[in-house]
Amino acid sequence: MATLGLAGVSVCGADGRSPVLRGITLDVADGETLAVLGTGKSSLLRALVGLAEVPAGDVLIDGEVATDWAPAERDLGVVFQDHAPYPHLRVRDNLALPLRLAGWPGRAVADRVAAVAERLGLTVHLDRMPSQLSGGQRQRVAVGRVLVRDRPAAYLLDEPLSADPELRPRLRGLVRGVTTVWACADPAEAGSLGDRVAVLAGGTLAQVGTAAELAESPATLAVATLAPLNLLPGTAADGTVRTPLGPLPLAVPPGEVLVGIRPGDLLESGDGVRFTVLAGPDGTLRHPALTRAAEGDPRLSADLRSAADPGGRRTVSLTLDPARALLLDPATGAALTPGPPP
Amino acid sequence: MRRAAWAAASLLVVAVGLVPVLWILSLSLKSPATITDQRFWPSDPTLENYRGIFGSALFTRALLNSVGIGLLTTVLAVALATPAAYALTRLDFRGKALVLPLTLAVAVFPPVAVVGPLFDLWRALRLYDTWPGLILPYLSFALPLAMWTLTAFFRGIPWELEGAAQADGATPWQAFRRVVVPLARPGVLTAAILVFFFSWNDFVFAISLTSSDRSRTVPAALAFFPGDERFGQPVGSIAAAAVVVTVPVLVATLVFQRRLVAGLTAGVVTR
Repeated sequence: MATLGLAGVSVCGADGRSPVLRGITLDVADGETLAVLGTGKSSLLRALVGLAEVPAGDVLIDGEVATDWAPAERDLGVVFQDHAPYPHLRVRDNLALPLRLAGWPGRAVADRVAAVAERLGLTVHLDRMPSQLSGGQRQRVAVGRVLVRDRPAAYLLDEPLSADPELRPRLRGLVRGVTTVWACADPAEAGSLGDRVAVLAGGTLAQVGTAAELAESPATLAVATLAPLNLLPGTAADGTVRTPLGPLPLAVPPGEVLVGIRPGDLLESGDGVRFTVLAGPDGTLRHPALTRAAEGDPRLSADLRSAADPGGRRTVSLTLDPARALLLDPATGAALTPGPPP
Repeated sequence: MRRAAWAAASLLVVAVGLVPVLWILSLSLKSPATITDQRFWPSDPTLENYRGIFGSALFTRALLNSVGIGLLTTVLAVALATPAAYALTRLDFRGKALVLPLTLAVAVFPPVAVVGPLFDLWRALRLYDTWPGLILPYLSFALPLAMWTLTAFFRGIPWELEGAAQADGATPWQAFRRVVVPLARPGVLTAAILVFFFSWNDFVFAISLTSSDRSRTVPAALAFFPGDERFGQPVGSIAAAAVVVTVPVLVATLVFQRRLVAGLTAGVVTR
């Protein structure tokens, strides 16, 4: 049981030259599962394991500076994304290696390996070579190599079981209660697996928070677009943001802005700004102004129960609460907070 | 129909490759009386030729030279090329990009062009007609060969596994011994076999840089076999000797062929 922390850490990529992550500050509480999204997930994990160059900042394990500790001293259970099983060892020996390295007696190794293989459905494959297994089975071997060990201080999982989605909830159950950093490819998966979600973008930590916090007030464009989002160009002036859909009464500094509208915030009835769109027979929504706009996707998405109408084209009246619109700086992607309406 | 065509083509290729070998085998089993009978199968197979060559110091000493020089060349080349290839794969240093092309440049010199000057040089250095006198020129070809083979092989090793082993609790040395060494072994073996074949089969250096059975290897010694009669060719003895020197190569290839086709790394990546 342990806490993990990164304090202003830069991480070099696999080539060991230039940093791919800079100034990452992050804490994982004891027993917490932190899901990580975005580019640089693997580098973040490699920094925690001790397999990446960390030219700046400190890695903390249980509050102690562990930046210079050897990987074996960190007591972390790691599932790597690629190159999961050792190709020259049978499944049985793959699972046994961590125990043998820890000096377990042969009898205990055999018992533990058998138990873990049983739990992961690998019993019939114990005497096969990894090259004889399917991708999903190989990933299970990698997971098994972590589970055979006595509870490590923390688990670091780099897209484990990406080929075996149905096993993921079980793995979630197995690591529950132990500090875990879980790299995910899919935002929805991250939201369901992690107590909190960290989003990496552009080599920095864009935001950390619960899935609900991230969805409600994304700090950057990268975080905002993890969920489906309509993105429209807008111009802010005099307490109003002009968009192709119409003006929104939002007070931000004048200039170009990006307006993000969540599909769920476009309602067929409600208070707010009202506008009309065309619904095609396949349920796609178009707005005349958007269609005329030279750039961008003219389609809008909204969660409408009645949108798909086999009868053909029709017009739909939608409302949007302007307070629900996300305003983003088109240059930096940073979220803009509207001031009080004038 | 297609399969039949493929089978026929394959058979043809195998036959073209195999007939000369079988012909030599056949010659080696013929007695001096029937050696010119032009029959493919020996009518009266005899081991007399083999008895003859193993009874002559000329051949047994040459065999010893071949094995000794071949093994020493192999051990030296692999021992030097393995760390070199490791460095070329894993480390960054100035001029790294030049190393492999330069070693190749050394290797492309035709032996015939080098052998004349070497003859003079070796006489001056007292290396003429000695084991080192052959091992050194062999190394100049064997080292580039081994370095190229090993570098190509090492590039394909998933080095991330070294880190994975450390995360599993291994010290750097344990990770190297338990994961890197077994993964590198097929490559080292391949390089060793190629180098051994190279020195085992060499004729140009062996005939030019030796003058006695102190260091003459089998390919060169074949030219010195005495005939059965005064002006006759020692065809039977040469054929028997050729079979004897082919056998180790053949056995090594068959024994290691599965390792040579390094299927070991197949299926490393999970994708």
